[in-house]
Amino acid sequence: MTGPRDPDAIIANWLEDGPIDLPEETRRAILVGLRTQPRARQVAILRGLPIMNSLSRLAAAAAIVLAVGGLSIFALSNRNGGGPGAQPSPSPSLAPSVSPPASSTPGPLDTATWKQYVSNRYGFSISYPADWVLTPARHDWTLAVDAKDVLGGGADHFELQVPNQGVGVNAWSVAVEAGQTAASWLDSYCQLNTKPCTGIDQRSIPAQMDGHAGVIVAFTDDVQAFFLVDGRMYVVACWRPNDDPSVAKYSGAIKLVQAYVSTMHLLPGGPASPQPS
Amino acid sequence: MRTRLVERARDGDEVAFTELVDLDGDLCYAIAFRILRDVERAQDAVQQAFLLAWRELPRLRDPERFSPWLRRLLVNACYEEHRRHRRWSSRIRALPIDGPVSSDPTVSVDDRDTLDRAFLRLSPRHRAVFVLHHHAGIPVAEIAEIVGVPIGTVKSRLHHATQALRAAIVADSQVDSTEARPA
Repeated sequence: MTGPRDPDAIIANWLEDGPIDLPEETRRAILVGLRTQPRARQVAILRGLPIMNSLSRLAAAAAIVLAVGGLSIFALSNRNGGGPGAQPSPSPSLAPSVSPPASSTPGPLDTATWKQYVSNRYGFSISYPADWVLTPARHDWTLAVDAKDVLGGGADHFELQVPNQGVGVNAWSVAVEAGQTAASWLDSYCQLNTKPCTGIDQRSIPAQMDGHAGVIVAFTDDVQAFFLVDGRMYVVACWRPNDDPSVAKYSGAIKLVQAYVSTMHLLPGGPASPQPS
Repeated sequence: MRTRLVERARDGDEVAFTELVDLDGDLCYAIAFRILRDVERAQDAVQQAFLLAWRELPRLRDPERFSPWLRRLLVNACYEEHRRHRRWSSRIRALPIDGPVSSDPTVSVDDRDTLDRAFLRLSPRHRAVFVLHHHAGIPVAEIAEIVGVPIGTVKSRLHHATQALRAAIVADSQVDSTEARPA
C-alpha cells in the first residue's frame, strides 16, 4: 500500500526526465549547415557596409528605375493639382516629395473576406485576413518602450502564422505632444524603431485612412503607414520588407499595408485611453 | 558578452554563432525534446531553429532580444516537426517514448507512461507553454511574447495542460487502487 501521491511532484519529476545536452552530431550538423544557408538581406546599409550579391544589385537597379519612373509620374500628377475633391494633408511635412517604387500588381488587395476588429484602446476599426491571428494590445503604446520592442504588447498585432514565413502587422495610435510636427515625431520614432531615417520623403507613398491623408514608407526591413489626425498618430506597420518572399502572396508589404489601411475607420469617440507619447 | 556575440554573429561571424550554439543549444534541445517527446525530431527542430536564426539574424534589430527570438524560432520549429510527423503518421507513436529511461525513482514506469500518453494528447501549443514555463522557468509574459499570444491565453493553456496531466495521474491512481482492492 502506498501513501497519498502528489500529482504535482510526480509531474515535476517526470518533466525533468530526459536529455539536457545537445547531441554532438546535431551541433556539428548546425555548424556545417551555416555554410550552405543563404542569409537574410543584411541591414548593412544601416552600418555603412553594403553587402550586395548579384541579385541584390539587380533588385537595387530595378528599384532605382521604378523610383525614377515614379518620380516622373508624381511630378506630372502634382502639376495637375489636387482638384476640388482632394483631401488636404494635415501634416504637410509628411507629404511625399517623390514617389516610391510602384507595386507590382495594378489593383488593391481584395479585403471583402477580411475580419473586422474594433480597437477601442486605439480608437479605430481595422480588418485583417481571415487566416491571420489577432492579438490585441496588452498596454498602451508609448514611444519610449514600444518603439524599440515591436513584440512587447503595445500594439494590436495581426499575424500570419506560417512556419519560417510568418508575417506580422502591428496597428496602434498614440497622442502626439502639442506642438510636435508629424515629421519630428516620425524622426524620433524612426531612430528607435527602424532604418534608414533619412530620405523618408523620397520613400513615401501618399495614402488615405478614413479620409485622412498620410504616408506609407518603405524602410529597409519593414513598411509602415503614418496618419496624424487631430493630434494623434495612427500607425500600421508590417514587419517585413516590401520584396520579402513571405509577403509575395500579397504582392508585397506595401500592398499589404495599403490593404490594412483601406479597411481602417476612426471610432467616433476616439480612443479609450488617449495619452501623450 | 552575449550581446556582443549576437552582434558579431549578425555581422556574419560564424565563430560567434558557434559560441551561441554552445551557450543556448542545450536548453533549446531540452525544450524541444520535452515538447515533442522524441529525440530525433527534437534534434531536427533545434537544427532547423538555429539555421533559421543564422539566416534571419541580420534582421534582428536588438541583439538583447536574441534569446526570446531564438525560442520563438524553436517553438515554431517544434510545431513544424509535429505537423510533418503527423502527415506521415496518423497515430500517436507507441510508448515508451524514444528517450532516455527515467533515472528518477520517484516517477514509476506507470506514471511515466501515463504522463507521456496524456502529454501527447495535448496540442503542441499547450505543450510548448507548459514546457517553457515549468521546465525552462520562463515567465508567463515572456512566453506570451515567444508564442505570440496574449498572456491570458498562455495562462489558460498552462491551466489546461496542468489539469490534464493531474487528471491523468489521479485517474491512474484510482485504477491502481481499484485493482489492488481484494475481490
